[in-house]
Amino acid sequence: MHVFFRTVLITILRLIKPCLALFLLCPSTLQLLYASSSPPYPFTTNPHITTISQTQNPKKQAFTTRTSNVPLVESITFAHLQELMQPNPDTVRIINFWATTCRPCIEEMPDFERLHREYGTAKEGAKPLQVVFVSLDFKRDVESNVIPFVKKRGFTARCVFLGAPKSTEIDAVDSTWTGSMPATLILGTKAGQRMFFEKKMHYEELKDFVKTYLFP
Amino acid sequence: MKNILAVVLMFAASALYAADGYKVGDAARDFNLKNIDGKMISLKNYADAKGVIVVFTCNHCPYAKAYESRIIDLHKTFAAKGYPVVAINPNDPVAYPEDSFENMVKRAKEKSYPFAYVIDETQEIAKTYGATKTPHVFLLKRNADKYEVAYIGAIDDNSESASAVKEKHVEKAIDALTKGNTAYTMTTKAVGCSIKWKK
Repeated sequence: MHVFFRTVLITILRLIKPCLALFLLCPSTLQLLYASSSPPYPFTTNPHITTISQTQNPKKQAFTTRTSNVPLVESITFAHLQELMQPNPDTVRIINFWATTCRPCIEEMPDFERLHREYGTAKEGAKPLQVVFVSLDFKRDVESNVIPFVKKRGFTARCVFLGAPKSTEIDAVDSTWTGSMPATLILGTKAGQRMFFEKKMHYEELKDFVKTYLFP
Repeated sequence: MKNILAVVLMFAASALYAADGYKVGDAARDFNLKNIDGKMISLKNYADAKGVIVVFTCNHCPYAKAYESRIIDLHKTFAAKGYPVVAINPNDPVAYPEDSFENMVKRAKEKSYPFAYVIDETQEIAKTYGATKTPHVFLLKRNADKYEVAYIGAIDDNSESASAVKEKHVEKAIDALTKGNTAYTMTTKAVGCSIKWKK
């Protein structure tokens, strides 16, 4: 049904493409769309983090909200990523591809983390949401850049390191992905519930997409 | 209602983007862009070449930097064989001052670029070609005064390390063209920095 709806929509869109392009590019449209979006999530001043780091053993930092035997940034293989990309009946999952050298990625990460915190535990009968940040940085930059960055931001969302994927792997994530970052995959709890975006995302639009899977 | 509208618009936007850009076999349009020496460059400047290796690249992107010397080597190897490099910077210098024309001139001097490094100020060429990231290669084959897209994608299969490369995609594509062999996969993908579009 969803696929059918989308196909019909795309056909209509092709017909009215020029008008729509103008409409989409019109500044007032964009303003309207993002009027309700909130300012970036204030990590550094997040009271939650301060509280944890103050009350726990000072050697254990706030980022260890995850179990301490799991490394802060776990290295994974593409086969492992493919498992994460399978629909999971218990969790709605957002897989975000990023790199420390990618400015738009870093700018959008707080919005993902905010969603992870807000919908990480199941509410109102919905399934919980899990955000996974997948770093595509160069391998040589993991120790020097990726881990310190994740530490500093205090992400509670899971962070893994994949490295630069191969051509066939980029295709396997999504056939429309050309390879630019940031890129985001949203997976629902049922087979076929899947959305892919090769662009910077904002909290409000992410929430709108995720909600269609959380509260179908 | 507003949420639904937003979702519909986002699908619309993604459908529009997906529909644009060249595929292998398409005719490639000519351009007229300012080179680092101040002169205008178009495909007509390469009327004697067999083709042109168009590389969308820039100054600031770490992937572009990682490929910089490999792009220089491509030109050094293939210009003499009829396939010169034309590097195009499509990024908005307002968002990324490192990608300004002045900094392009500076970078090209520092690294003695042997090829044209032009600025796509209106971003029209990047949009028409369907470039989405840096570096992003479009290998063009010349037929009289027309150009056809023969290969789209990555320079090779390892952005991090030139010494760990197993498949030199652009070289293979040129090789296949030279031999009249179309068996080579003519599209590959690699991660790169998104092109910074003007707002």
